[in-house]
Amino acid sequence: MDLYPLYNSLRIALISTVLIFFMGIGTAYYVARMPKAIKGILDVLLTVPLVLPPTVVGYLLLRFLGPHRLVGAFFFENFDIRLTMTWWSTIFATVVVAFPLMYRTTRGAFESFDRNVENAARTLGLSGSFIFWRIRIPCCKAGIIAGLVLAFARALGEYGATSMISGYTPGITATISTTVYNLWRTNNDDLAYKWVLLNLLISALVLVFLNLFEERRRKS
Amino acid sequence: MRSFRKALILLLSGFAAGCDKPHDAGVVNEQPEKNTVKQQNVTVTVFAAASLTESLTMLGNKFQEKHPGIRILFNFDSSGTLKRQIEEGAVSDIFISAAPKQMNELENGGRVLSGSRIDLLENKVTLAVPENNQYQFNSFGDLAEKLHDCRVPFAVGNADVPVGQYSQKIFSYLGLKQDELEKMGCLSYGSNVKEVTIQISEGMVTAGIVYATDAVSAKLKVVDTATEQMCGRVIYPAALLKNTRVQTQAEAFLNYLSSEEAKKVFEQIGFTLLKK
Amino acid sequence: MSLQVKITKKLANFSLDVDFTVESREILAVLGASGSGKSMLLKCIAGVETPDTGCIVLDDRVLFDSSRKINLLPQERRVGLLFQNYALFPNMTVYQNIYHSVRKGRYSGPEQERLINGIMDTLQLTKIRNNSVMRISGGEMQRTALARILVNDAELMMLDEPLSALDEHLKFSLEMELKEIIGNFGKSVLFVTHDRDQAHRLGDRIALVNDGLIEKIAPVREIFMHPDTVEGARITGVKNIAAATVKNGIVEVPRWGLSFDLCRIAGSDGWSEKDIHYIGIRMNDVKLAKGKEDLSKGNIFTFKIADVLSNVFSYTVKLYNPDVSDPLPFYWQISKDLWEPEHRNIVELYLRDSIVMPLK
Repeated sequence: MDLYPLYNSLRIALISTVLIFFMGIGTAYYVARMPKAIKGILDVLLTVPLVLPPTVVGYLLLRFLGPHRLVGAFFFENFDIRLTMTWWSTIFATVVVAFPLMYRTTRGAFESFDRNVENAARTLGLSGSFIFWRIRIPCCKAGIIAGLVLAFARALGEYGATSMISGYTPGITATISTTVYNLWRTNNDDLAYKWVLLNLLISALVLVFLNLFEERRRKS
Repeated sequence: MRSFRKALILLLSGFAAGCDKPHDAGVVNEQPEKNTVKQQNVTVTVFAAASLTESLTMLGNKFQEKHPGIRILFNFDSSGTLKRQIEEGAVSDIFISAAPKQMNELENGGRVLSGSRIDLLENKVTLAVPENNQYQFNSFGDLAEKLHDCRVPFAVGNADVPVGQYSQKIFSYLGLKQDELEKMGCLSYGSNVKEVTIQISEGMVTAGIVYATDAVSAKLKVVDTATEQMCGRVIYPAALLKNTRVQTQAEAFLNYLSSEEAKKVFEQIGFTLLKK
Repeated sequence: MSLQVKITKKLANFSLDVDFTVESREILAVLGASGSGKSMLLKCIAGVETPDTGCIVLDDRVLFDSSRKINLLPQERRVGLLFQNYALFPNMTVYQNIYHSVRKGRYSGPEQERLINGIMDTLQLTKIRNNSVMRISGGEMQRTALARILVNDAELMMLDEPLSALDEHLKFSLEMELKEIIGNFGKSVLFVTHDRDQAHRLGDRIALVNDGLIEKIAPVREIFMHPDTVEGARITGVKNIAAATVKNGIVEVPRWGLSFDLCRIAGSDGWSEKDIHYIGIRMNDVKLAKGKEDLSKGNIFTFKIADVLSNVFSYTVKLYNPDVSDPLPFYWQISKDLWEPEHRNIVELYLRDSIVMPLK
């Protein structure tokens, strides 16, 4: 069994999760400080990919990243870099669809962080960066990790937008989900089931890990 | 109590109206037009492959204009699904499929009116390229040398998509080992034709193999057409079904589909009309 | 080491508008009802909120000046603020909370350790130094929060409703601790409370605050003896407040049926006739008349007893004047070892002039 889709899906999901971590905590932090009206609008915009069908998301991404489109053309014409049909093109899709999950959970965690703790730290002379990384983030750890796990799982299972923007090129852009779909469509059920089981195994491992982590935290 | 009774009557008449099959609604409500002689309204039901939706609908309208007493009713779906529906007893007068296979199966099952089967249309398998044809794919012959350099992939439909199956035949005719190319990461498989045409039109692939009709509807540039030797012929057979009750009118429509007028419509979309 | 504050800030229902000074080494209590803008005042001084206009000067450092666009970051002000719920860093231990409160670069490694250990020792935190702050008692939390401020080189300490987050039985001993700690602090302390007894016990001076305005600022005794306003009287615990009119040098309180000589009750304080709209009398200041009182310095009045409430060590007696048609209750509190209600229904009370407070 060619394991490229496993390797590809895992690396895409991991890279996406790292990107989403920084994007998520950054936007959650800044949006929480905005005046109510702007906050509402931004919330909607940043959560929209969650409610759009993934194929629509993929199609919209294509309109920006295709080699003759706005952003894609810039990279294609100036650097001969294609933003589509590569293994890392999928990362655009996975980040867009999984980001809202991280954003919302983190925003919730940040909102329930006691402002007075931040204020006290400021009066004691601690820098904004210390307060953010050494106090706020550790305090909101539960919410942030929950968000990361959700984002990772979503990125791992992404199909619709991935299919649009990276296609299914065996050995290059194939992910577990596009591989399973293709095997199913070409009546290769046996192999398809093997992949499904593998996917379930990975998801189960992720959840077990999450539970263990929660247990340890609760005990300490 | 009175308003309750009124409501009940309204409700029941609503049911009665709804119970009419759309099939016969015309018959129930229609009064004979002033200028026409007393006519029976006849409905001809056509089961046709989805790829014929546009063309047949247009032709159906034109036919109905010429023959006010005949109504054409279409059911568009994949050929396999339609075949199954007919086998399970669906009411149908004409069947047009996207490949001989389904028609053969119905014939073997004794559901086709003998002598009525014709090869109606032919589709072509084409090599389509992006607007600027950056990679200079000019003919199927180019595939042999160009496909191995696959920094950018080449698009085909997967084995489940009809044109994908023809692509496999073309590859083996050209002496190309498809699974080798696959392992090298040179091929991008679309799970439906739309994916393939988008990848070509957006310039995401070097080129791709699609039906002539797909190329026309996606406005793709076609640089080569496959010969019968390369992948066989893509024939769309049409026939009357044995248990049709409106044979005369069905025949009339089927003949119309071979007329000059029909030819223009089909060829505009990329089909070739086959003369009997 | 003095703090000068003159700021305004528009709040939801009123505007905060204050102008006062905390003297060097003084403990100033800001006493007011909840929602009177007290906490906002502290936050403005600390720099976590910004006033609309004004200036704040600590010693010779300008912390805020709206006209010169100066607004120091809280980090730079060196003002310690003890929050109501202590605001400790939840993810750290006691030691870590204190460790990170030491200003960077101020001390060398060993000096810093000595400082931290010293403070923890003084505040009895050494045993729990490695405990998470989520796992310590309320009193230990307060001491940890104070320790943070004490290691922080703060030039001013401010406390927002200290002890209000604690259980009743802890408040007594912890307040003693707090008093000692702020006494040893050696610099100015400003605290905010709605608890008049606490203000009385801990403060040197008291500022009475109502709806964003300081109604009076004076030493503790002066505030309690002469609150000067109705709201001030209420906050300082005066239970007997009634409307009064002044005519021809006589102050009449119709609903109590009492009258007083204007000169005797307000002469030396500068109250004029038109200033007096109410009279306030503390129920503990009222004495039982024994017949030997000096009538040139007070009056004896007779009241009817409506109800007697038995407290642990005293009685609160609800009285009214039988000669008044629509009487307002008058409350008197007397220690249990001085009087018993028995079956009495009238009582004679002596009201000394000095306890009768004219109010605006």
